[in-house]
Amino acid sequence: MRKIVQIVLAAALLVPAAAWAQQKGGVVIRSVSEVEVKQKNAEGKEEVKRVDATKTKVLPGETVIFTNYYTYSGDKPATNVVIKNPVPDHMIYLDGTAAGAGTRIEFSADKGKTFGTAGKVTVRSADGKERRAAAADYTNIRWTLEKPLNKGAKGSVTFRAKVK
Amino acid sequence: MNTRTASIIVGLLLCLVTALAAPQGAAAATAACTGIGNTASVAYSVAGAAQTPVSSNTNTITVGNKVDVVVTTTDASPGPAVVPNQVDVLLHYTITNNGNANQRYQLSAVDLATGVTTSVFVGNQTVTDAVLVSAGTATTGDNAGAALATTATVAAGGTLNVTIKATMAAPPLTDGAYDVFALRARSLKVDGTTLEANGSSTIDSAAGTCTADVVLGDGAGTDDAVAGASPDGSHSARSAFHVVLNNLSVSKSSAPYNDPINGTTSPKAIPGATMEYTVVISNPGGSSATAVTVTDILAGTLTPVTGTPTWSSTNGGNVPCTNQAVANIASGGWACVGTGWAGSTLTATIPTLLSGETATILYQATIN
Repeated sequence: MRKIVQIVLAAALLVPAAAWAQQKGGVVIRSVSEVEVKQKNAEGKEEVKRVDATKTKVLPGETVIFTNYYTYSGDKPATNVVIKNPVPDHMIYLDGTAAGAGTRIEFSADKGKTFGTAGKVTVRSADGKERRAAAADYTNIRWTLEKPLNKGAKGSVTFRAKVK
Repeated sequence: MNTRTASIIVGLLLCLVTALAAPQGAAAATAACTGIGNTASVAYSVAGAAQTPVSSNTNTITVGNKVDVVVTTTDASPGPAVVPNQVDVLLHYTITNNGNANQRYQLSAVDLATGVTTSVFVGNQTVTDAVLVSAGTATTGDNAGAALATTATVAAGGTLNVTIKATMAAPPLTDGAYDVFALRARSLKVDGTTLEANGSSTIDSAAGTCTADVVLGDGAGTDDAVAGASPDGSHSARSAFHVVLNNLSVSKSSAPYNDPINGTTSPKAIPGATMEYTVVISNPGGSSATAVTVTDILAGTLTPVTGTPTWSSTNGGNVPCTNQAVANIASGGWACVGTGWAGSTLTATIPTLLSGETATILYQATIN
C-alpha cells in the first residue's frame, strides 16, 4: 500500500541542493551507550545494573551496549526506514548481539559498501582471497524496519561491542 | 685433589638492560584516554520521497586505564649454576606492561633468604651484602638484606628486561644450595612516587595525558607487594643462584713403558721396569676450575723417575720435564706441571680446567 504523493514544502525550496521533499516532524534517533556493572542491592544480593558508559570507566576487553532509540512524529507513515551504525573505532562487534524488534539485521565488512545477513558477509583478505567474515570483521550494522512507522511510533535497536 | 669449593653472595646489582621495547603485535589494547564516539543514522522515505538522513547524538566513551603487569623469569629452573668467588652472575627477569598506558614501576629485588617453601627454587643461602645499580648508578649496599629498589617506565604493551647481578662469596658454600631472589614490579602513578591505586588518576598513554579511571587488573605473583591481595598493582617472579660445586673426577691407570729385558717393545711389569702412570682429571661442572692440584704418593715398591723421562709416543708428550710430571690440557697442549717430586710425593698443578675439559697427567716410576 504505497501512495505516491508529491509534497513540496517551502523549506525544501530554500535548500535546492536537497532534492528530497523533507517533511516536518521526521525521525529522531538518540544513541545511548551503557556498560553493565555488578552491584549489591539493598538486600545484599548481587544484581547487574546498566550505567551510562560515558560517565564511567570502560577498560579494554569490556563490553559496551549501544542502543539507538528512535521516534517518529511525522503525519504520514515513514517507509524504507534503515538505521545504520558503524562499529565504533577501537571496538569489536560481538557476534549475535545485534537486535531490534521488527527489523532485518545486516552487516558489512567493507565499511558499508556491501551488506549481508550474519554469516553471509564476505571479506577480502590481504592476499586478495574472499573469505567469510567473522563478527570481528564487521565494520557496519544496519537495521531495516520491516514495517512503516506511523506517527508516534517508537522503538530501539541495539548491539554490543568490546573495547579492543 | 683439590676441587674448587664454595661460599656465597657478596654483591648484588640490579641492572636495567633493555629499555622500553616497542609494543608487540596488533593485539595491543586500546590506549587509555582514547575517546570512542558512536553515532547512528537513519534513512527513510515519506510518501515515496527519500528524506534527508538523520544522525543521532554522538556519545563518547573515554577508555580508562587497566593496570596490568606481569613479571617472569627467563632463567630455567633451578637457576644459573654458580661457584664461590664467581663474579657478575645474573638472574634474568622480564617485566611486561599488559596495561593500556605507559606505566612507571618501582622495581625491587627481594631476597628470599629465609622461609621460602613454595618456590620452584628451594633452599637458601645468606646474602651478606648487595648493591643496587640503576642505569649505571650504584646506590648503597644492602647489608640488612632489605629489598632494593629503583624505578623504570615501560610503554603500554612493552617489556623491560631486568637483571640482578651478584658476586658470589668466598668458600665454603654448600653444594646444591640456593639463594632465591624475587623481582617485583609495583605500579606507580605518573609522579613516580605514589603507588597506583583504583580511582581517578593522571594517565600518560599513547593517546596523550589525561585524567581517567584507573583499575588495577594484575594477577597474583609469588612475592607481590601486598600478599594475598590481587590485584594490588604489583607482580613478581623468582629466580635463584644455584650453587653447583665443581666435583672433578679423577682416574688413574698404569702401563709398563720399559723393562730391562724387552726394552720398550712389549715391556712387562717386572722388577727394574719403568711404569708410566696416567691420571685423567675431568671437570663436568658448569664453570672453570682453577689451581687443580694432583698429589700422588708412591708406594715403597716404586721409585720415581726424577730425571727427564722419555714419554711413550701414544701420549705424545715429548716435552722434556725434569723431576716433574707432564700434562696435556685440552685448551693448552702439553706442558710441565706442578712442583714435581719431593721424595716419593708428586705434586702436579693444572692452572685452569675449563668446564667440560679433561687433563691428562703423566709421570713415571720404576719397580724396585
